[in-house]
Amino acid sequence: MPPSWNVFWKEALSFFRDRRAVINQLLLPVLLMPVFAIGPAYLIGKLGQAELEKTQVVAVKGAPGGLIAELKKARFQVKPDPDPEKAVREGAADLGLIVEPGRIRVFAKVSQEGLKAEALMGKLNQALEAYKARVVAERLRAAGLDPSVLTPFVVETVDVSPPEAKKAGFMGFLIPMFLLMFIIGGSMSVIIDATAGEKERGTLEVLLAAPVRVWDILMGKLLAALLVGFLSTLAGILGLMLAGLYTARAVSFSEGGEAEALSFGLQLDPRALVLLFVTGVLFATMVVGIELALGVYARSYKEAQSSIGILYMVVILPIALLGTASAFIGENPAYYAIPIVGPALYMDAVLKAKADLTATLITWGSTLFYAGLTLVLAYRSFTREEAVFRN
Amino acid sequence: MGIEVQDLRKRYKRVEALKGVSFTVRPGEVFALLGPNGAGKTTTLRILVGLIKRTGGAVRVLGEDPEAAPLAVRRRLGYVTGGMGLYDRLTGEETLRFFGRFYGFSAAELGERIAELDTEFALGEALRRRVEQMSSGMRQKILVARAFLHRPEVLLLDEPTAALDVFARRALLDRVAEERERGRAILYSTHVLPEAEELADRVGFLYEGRLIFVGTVEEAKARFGGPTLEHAFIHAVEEVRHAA
Repeated sequence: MPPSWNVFWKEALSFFRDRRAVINQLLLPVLLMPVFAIGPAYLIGKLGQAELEKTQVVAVKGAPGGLIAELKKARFQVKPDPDPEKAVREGAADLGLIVEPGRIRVFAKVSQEGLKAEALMGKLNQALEAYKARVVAERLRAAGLDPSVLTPFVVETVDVSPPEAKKAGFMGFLIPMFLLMFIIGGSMSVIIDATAGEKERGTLEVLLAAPVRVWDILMGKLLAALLVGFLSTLAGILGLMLAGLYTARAVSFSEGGEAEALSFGLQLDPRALVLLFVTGVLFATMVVGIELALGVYARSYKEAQSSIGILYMVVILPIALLGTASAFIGENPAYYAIPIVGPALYMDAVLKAKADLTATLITWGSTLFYAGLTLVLAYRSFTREEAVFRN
Repeated sequence: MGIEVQDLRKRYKRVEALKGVSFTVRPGEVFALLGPNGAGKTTTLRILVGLIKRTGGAVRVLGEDPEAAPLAVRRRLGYVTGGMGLYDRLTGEETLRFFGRFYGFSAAELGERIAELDTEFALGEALRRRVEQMSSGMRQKILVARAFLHRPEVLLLDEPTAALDVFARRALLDRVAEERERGRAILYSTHVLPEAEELADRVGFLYEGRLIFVGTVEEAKARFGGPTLEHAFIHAVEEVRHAA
């Protein structure tokens, strides 16, 4: 058995025999991903819906009969009040209205009640819009005009995105982010144990004292980290698929809507899967190289956890920011060469069927180059006595 | 041919850890390197294994420079540290197979060699149990079996009894004495002086990076005075302190 495979065998065996690590890296993503992915949105949706279905009190002053009728139709309890603002402030009413000539003033605890206030304002605005449409129609008729003159045409938007981009839906950029997070998280547990953990237990010195090249030790540890990172990513994907399945069923059931809009874009063709896999491996190699360098430099397991934890944030933060900004970034191929950000942009492009040969070559070439650099950095750390024997 | 160390120097950033240390360890000899924590014992051993680089002097292990040919040297020496250095989640047999593969043993050869070590060290249950489930005595057996797996010609033992109970410690000291009879060159680093007094053919007193005495236990007692090696060592250190 080649020395690097021997090290890989030892690291992999140690991982799979560590029940806690297996649960954390391989089981929890399957169970928790559905909760994290859809839980908050589901909870907020349910709460919002429940709030809207309740009857709220609106304190009104100077409201005409037509407006009161619209408010009652929208399930508001209308309560005439000489000072609606005070009623809202003191909690006697949920919302307040003062109708003045040419203006309606609405009072709500917007800052204080956040999402709840927004939901109530939405409900109130619907009633006000309905009243406004009614008033406009009445005035037009009084002037001898047909109200339809106000709608000379209707606007209809057609989404011409490729089917892959539609399937990715509004969650599109979160998918590469999740994939990269799983790769880093999965490899992290192996690397910390295989570097700082070995230092702390005194096994690293014994391993380095064996007739084996440092490069073989590094390769063995790298392969084990890639394996666990890959399995952890698969577990995460499985969790996302469960989340997608659940959401799709919920959407189909409740709205009869297009299920694939929320199915997290996981209906990928084999070509896209290969592109994502190769990009993931290259990205993982780059990150594991840094983790190896940091891990062996750390004095203890805890120190490694803390420094590699910071690395995790450094990697994830730009990807998360990119999630909101990616739609506004131009199509410059040079962006694919930016470390960390490039693979995330490329994965997003693959999911949306936008990745061409140039993007592929730039992303893979640059990431391979950065991976090589980080492995050289890791090698230097492993051969630096100040790092290996730092305690 | 065992170990030759000539004017060995090592400087860390601000600290000069070794200030010109010279000694030899001949085949069939136990040389005890004695000194308090921080004296430079571990640094010396790590240089001999090729784990760290010296800043001056010359070192030969079995005729080879460990800095220039670390793998060639490591194939022929056994290195035991007091920190144990065993993988918790591997069994005793897996541990021996893991390290054995680095020495070029095939699977069949390893099987035969492990069977020999089982007979020689009475490994028994320790081969089947995971390290994390072993008693300290079992761990010590695997540790020593690992050091002898490839039949090393030179043994470097760095505080080897630090984590051992009294039974395991006794077994290890007896084993070291047997290996001397088999002609191995043994460098035994410790700050537990009674162990050295029992085992060593010659001793070296290492203090603040300098070897302040090299000779037999009897010569040390005669030179510095005192009923035991421990007394002699303390007197030697006091002498250096007064001179400074």
